[in-house]
Amino acid sequence: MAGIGFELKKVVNRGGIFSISQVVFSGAIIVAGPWMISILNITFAQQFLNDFLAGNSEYLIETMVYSYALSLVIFGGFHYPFTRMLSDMIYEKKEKEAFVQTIFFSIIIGGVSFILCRFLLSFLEIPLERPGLYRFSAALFFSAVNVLWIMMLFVSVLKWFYKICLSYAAGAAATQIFIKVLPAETGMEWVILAFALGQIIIILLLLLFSQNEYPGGKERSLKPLFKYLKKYRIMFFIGLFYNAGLWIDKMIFWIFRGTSNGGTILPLYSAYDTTVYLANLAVIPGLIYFVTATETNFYILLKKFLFSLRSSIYRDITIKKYRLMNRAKKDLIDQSLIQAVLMIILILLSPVIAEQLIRSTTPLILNLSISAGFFYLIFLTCLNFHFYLEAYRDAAWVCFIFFGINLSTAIVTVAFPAIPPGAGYILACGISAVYSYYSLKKNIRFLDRKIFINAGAVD
Amino acid sequence: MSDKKISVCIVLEGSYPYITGGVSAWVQDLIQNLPEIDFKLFTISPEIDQPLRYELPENVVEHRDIVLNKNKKNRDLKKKQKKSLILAMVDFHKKLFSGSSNPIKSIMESYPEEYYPYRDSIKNNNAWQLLTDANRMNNPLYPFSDYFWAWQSAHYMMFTVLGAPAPEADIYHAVSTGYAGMAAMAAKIRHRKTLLLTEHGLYHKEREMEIRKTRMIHGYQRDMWTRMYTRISRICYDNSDRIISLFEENRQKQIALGAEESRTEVIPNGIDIPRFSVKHEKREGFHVGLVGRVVPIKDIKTFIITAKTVIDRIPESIFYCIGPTDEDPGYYEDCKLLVKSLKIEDKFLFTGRANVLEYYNFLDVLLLTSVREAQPLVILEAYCGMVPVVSTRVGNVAELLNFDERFLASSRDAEKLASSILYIHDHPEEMKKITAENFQRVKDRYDIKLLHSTYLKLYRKMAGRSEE
Repeated sequence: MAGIGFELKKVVNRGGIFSISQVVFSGAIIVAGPWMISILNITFAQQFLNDFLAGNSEYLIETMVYSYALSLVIFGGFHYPFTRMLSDMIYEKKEKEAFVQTIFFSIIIGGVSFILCRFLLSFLEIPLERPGLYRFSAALFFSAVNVLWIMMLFVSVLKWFYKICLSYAAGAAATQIFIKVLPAETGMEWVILAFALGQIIIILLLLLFSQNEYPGGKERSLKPLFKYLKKYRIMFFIGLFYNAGLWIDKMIFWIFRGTSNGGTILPLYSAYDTTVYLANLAVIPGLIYFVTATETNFYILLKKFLFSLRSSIYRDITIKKYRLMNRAKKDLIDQSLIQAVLMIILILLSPVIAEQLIRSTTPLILNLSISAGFFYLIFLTCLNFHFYLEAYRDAAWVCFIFFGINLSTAIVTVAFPAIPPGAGYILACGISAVYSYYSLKKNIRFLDRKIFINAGAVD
Repeated sequence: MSDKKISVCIVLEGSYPYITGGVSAWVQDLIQNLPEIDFKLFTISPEIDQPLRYELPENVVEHRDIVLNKNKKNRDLKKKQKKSLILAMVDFHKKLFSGSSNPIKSIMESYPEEYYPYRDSIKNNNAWQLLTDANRMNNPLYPFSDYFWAWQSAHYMMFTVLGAPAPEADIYHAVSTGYAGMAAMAAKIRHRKTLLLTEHGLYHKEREMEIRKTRMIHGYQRDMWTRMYTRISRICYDNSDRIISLFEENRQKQIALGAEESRTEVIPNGIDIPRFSVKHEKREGFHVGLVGRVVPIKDIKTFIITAKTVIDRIPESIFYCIGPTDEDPGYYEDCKLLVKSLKIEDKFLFTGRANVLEYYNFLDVLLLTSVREAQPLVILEAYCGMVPVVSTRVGNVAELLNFDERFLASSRDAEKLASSILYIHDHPEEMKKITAENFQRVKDRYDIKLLHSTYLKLYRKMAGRSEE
């Protein structure tokens, strides 16, 4: 995302309130677009469709939540080596080939996810009038979410953030139109289908933009894709543990504390779920700072360091290396300060938010989630920099620790009800933040050595 | 007395059985004439599947080739073992740089075969610190990457030879210091056998000459490489049980570099005297030959220029370049162009591979224009054929020519070489006396049978079988 960051940096550098607003808005879309739109969709569904659908919105909420969660946990691992392939192809100016591979990958993931979801749903009893339609719509929605993640990977690498905004807006509008057009008032199955179709509209728009820009790619085999999946299989584990780490505590609570409201199929734990979703939106300001400043500065200094390896004396190489480390630390501190200020404000407002906005939660759970967001941002930043340094093995360990702590603390929380939900998540984020920071420092310290070892690459 | 034959593992770098030349011919001759010894070859090659230039005798029972620059499967060692070994190497290098006494034996005893610690050494903090400190000390103003690649190049080859599994043998016989010497040393220590080192030339001196000539290596890197080769030679001397040189001057140089005098010995080259004792028959004209490969080290261009000078004075002269022309095609083309440009094509012949005996029997002079030699056998061969010799003053040539300045010249001194040839032409009676003396000297000191028996005794002694 450094590319987008540089674009936004240019806008900020123009100065003025308008430029800053533009960056804030665009940055929010870029860093949290899909997630944010999903949260907004879920929130909209919860808040406004409830009356419309005579209180049956839980099916929609469950379907959406489980779709997003499982799409990331099951297939999220593949996104990382796929993104690596896209980045390499686009760097080599092979955008057409990248687009073709995106289509292939989307077809595979879309197909597999549809079949998998449909298969799993066949074991569940669906207490709706049209269970077959529900199963189909849910599977279609799940499949669409998975394909959309992949399309987003492609368009994000190309920096089309305005086209992304347009597509999402169109998709949201299309969803509402479909709800009106389909006999939604007769059952949730139709609403879910409308949402699924809305996602498909987004996909089609992104495909259209891509096809216009990069028609006629010649690559007709999956070889590049499989080559990257094999070569960068460690990245699969990064994705797997990262996404599983994000969702495992919620899943544990769904199983042990969740309720299926109104005779629905899949349990949710709304006291915690919604809190976390909205608390995660609170990291957007920090993420915008990350994209426009932290990441771009890191990229610039990393590039200078890499150039110095080729032709500088050792003293200069060392200076540039430590400059990179110190700047990363400074930007991380600045970013964390911005996030800390927001965190404090939200914590102070948490009683009001809990009462007015998220009625199912408590201020304590909200505060824990907001605080976890602070550490999560540090963890995410440091993890991101591991990718720049190609420290994939260490990144995998960082994510594994995140997953492991979140899993174990979630289990402990379930066993000891006095521990509030979110306590484990904040611990996982906190420890992962610290570990990932020290891992990053270590990797920067040994970066010159690592590059020379790999460049030599004779054994 | 043991029934089992003594096995000798000959360790070679860039020569036999892939490259023709004096050393290769010497090795082939030694193996062929000691059928009571089982020989194993342990060769170091730059590339895989090089064609053999010699038919291996029957008593070569094993041949193992180490190919540098080929990826090798690394043995798995425990982390603790790796760390301990690398720290020992770091300590060894520090002592080496400071000039302290530094036995490598203890490192080699814990250095297993098929372990190539290149990556592990860079990953180790102490080793990396050593590398960067050395760079700061020796090379503070040059790009670090240059230094690193030079280090990598040298040490990768070093690790390759040290880790290569050698054939089992009673004696390891290295035919040079350098990487062959190191490989032999590693094998000797691992297998607890003895190490015999025979130096035809002085490896570190030869490398130094090459380094100084090449444009690819410059500035501090020249010193770095030169120092490294000198240190390798010293390590080989320290760990060799016997150190053989071909002539006294080289033995003194070995001692000067640190070889223990009591372990050193001179065993000169030898030739098959009956074979080379051809009847010399005067042929019309004046015939001057150079026996050697058409390669820069033989300096054929100086030979050609010398030929021009002599031909201008003695029009009936004919010059023969007797030796393979296919080793350096580019240089051969240059030489042909030079011959053409000097307009002596009808008086200067490239014979290619030939039976040298057919030439010794009528040559009036053997000319050697090499820029580097050890103890050239061609001089001894010429003496057997009663052919007088003129040569550049390299290696042991001066001693072979009895230090007679009339027939010696500096490298590339075509004028002096020509005047020596002319002297021979102008003093036939004197030359008869001198060639007779030369032949007697060959019979007294350079008989190949003496060489074979000396080495056989040496092998038996080193294998603990002196009573055989």
